Amino acid sequence: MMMKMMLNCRQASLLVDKKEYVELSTKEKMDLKMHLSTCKYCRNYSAQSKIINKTLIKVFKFNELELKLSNDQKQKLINSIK
Amino acid sequence: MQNSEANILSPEKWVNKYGDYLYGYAMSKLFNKELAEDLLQETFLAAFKGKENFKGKSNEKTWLISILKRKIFDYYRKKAKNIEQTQNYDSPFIEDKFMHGQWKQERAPKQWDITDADLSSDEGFLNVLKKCISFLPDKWKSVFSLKHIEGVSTNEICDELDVSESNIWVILHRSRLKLRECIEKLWFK
Repeated sequence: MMMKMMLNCRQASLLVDKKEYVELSTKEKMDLKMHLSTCKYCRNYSAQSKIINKTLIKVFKFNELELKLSNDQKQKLINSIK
Repeated sequence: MQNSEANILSPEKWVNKYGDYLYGYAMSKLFNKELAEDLLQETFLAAFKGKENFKGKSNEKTWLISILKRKIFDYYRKKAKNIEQTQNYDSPFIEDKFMHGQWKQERAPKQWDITDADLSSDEGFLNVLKKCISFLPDKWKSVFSLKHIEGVSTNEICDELDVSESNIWVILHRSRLKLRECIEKLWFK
């Protein structure tokens, strides 16, 4: 009976990911906390998820001055528009 | 005044003035040089064709970036139609009756050895993550990328890609499971 109420790893890891995008409900938070307290793999997953998220922000971030077109690329573009 | 200025702009002037800016934006959403070049070309072509409609309502840079954003969205939408690759989903979880939903032993998350303070600032790690995103099946990659592009709402993704909201969660989750494994393989080997 108790087992049925507890999350399995698939459900727990889904909540770990969901948490990176939306606020979890109180029940979801409690269930997740309980699962994480007993499962090393999902604790690893949770720690990794945070690192991935922090890096994702930088991956998709637009840094205006970072990149420049080469002269060849520019010429190619100009020719294709003409 | 604005209008006549737009009319006298030549392709050279446009590319020289806005090329780097648009290229940087495209690369930050696509991480692929050829693709970024293609969409930039399409953007300039569309802008050139439509310059009569521009009429200086907003500034030129804003106008061009809005066309480019549309092109990026269109690109991912077309990609998302490509579903063959996701049909054989290989779950890292055990699906039999007794161990239902537990990690498969060999694919369970290991403890990452993180001695460096901030991995997210490591250029190499950033590139590994980009590479792993590029390995995702097309449909997942589209949903995942759009979800992380600023200003794109979940509703928009649902509507444009014809995916339900609960499906978006499943796709994001499966993508992240795959990314995790990919990073473990490429970075923490």
